[in-house]
Amino acid sequence: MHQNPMDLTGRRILITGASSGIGMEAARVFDSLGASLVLIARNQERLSAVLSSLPGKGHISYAADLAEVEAIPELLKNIAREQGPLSGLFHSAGIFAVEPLSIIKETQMDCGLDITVKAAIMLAKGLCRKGIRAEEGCSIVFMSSVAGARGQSGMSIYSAGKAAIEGAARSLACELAPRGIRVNSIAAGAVRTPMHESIISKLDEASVAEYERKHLLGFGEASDIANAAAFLLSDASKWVTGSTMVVDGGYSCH
Amino acid sequence: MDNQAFVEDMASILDVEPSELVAGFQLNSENFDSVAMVGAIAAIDEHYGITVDSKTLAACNSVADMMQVIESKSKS
Repeated sequence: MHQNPMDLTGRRILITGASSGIGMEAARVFDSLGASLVLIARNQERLSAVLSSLPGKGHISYAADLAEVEAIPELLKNIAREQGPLSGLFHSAGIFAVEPLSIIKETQMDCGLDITVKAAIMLAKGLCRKGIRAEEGCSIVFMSSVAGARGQSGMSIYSAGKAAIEGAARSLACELAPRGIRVNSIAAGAVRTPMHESIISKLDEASVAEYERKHLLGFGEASDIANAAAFLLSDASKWVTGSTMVVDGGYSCH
Repeated sequence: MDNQAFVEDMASILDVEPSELVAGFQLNSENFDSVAMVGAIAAIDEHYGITVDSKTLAACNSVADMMQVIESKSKS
């Protein structure tokens, strides 16, 4: 029988930002592919709701605030000690806000970059240790955005963070390949999530239509990103590292 | 001088537990590659305020050798 190349059976995969949006959809998709999941988000109640909605077994959640960047390696150590080594990590947690330069203050910069960039690097630092990474191979996937490579008014902090995470993924791919760890990122276009809806609600109709028109295939669904993440976490992508996978409905073709 | 913090950083660099980093711990081309060496130079600088070059570090065969380099450099 032909085996599904994206099968994740027997893989323990950690998802950050798992309580909503893309992270939550990723939990559904990875569960359907057979993975054992470790779900992380700040809100335990919402995490428990996601956990109980998954048909598969062997999943667990940890409530943690990734803004406490320094504590991340210890968190991964505890998770591996309690659950076993990790085969994959999908860093989906992020903060998105449209912030014109006129209102930007340093605290907003810290807030935006801590979860996106610093947390990503510390997650990799935690995962790469012996006993925490699965010896048979490991895959890290960071959520990036088309904003990492394409400009948009009011998105300087967000764009800076996403460009940074893609750069970090490439260098980490170099540094961690000897330990059997692949590192990639996904540059996503606008996807229908609660975060997306809150942005759209602030724009007038014409702006929304223009924004959607730039996505040649329309706005995406969370599953479009979750499927791409599943590919990058599975052996189907075993020869892919240091890359940015563009999943944007054609937004960046222009 | 902060030996414990240095040991923790070195353990992270060498991908071992801090408890494994005894004086006789052997450094070789497998666990102490060029990236690890850059990490060790930075850790020594951070914890002891000493600049060590890669040539000196490459000559260290064990953690004890490294500590000796740090000690003699601290005195000079």
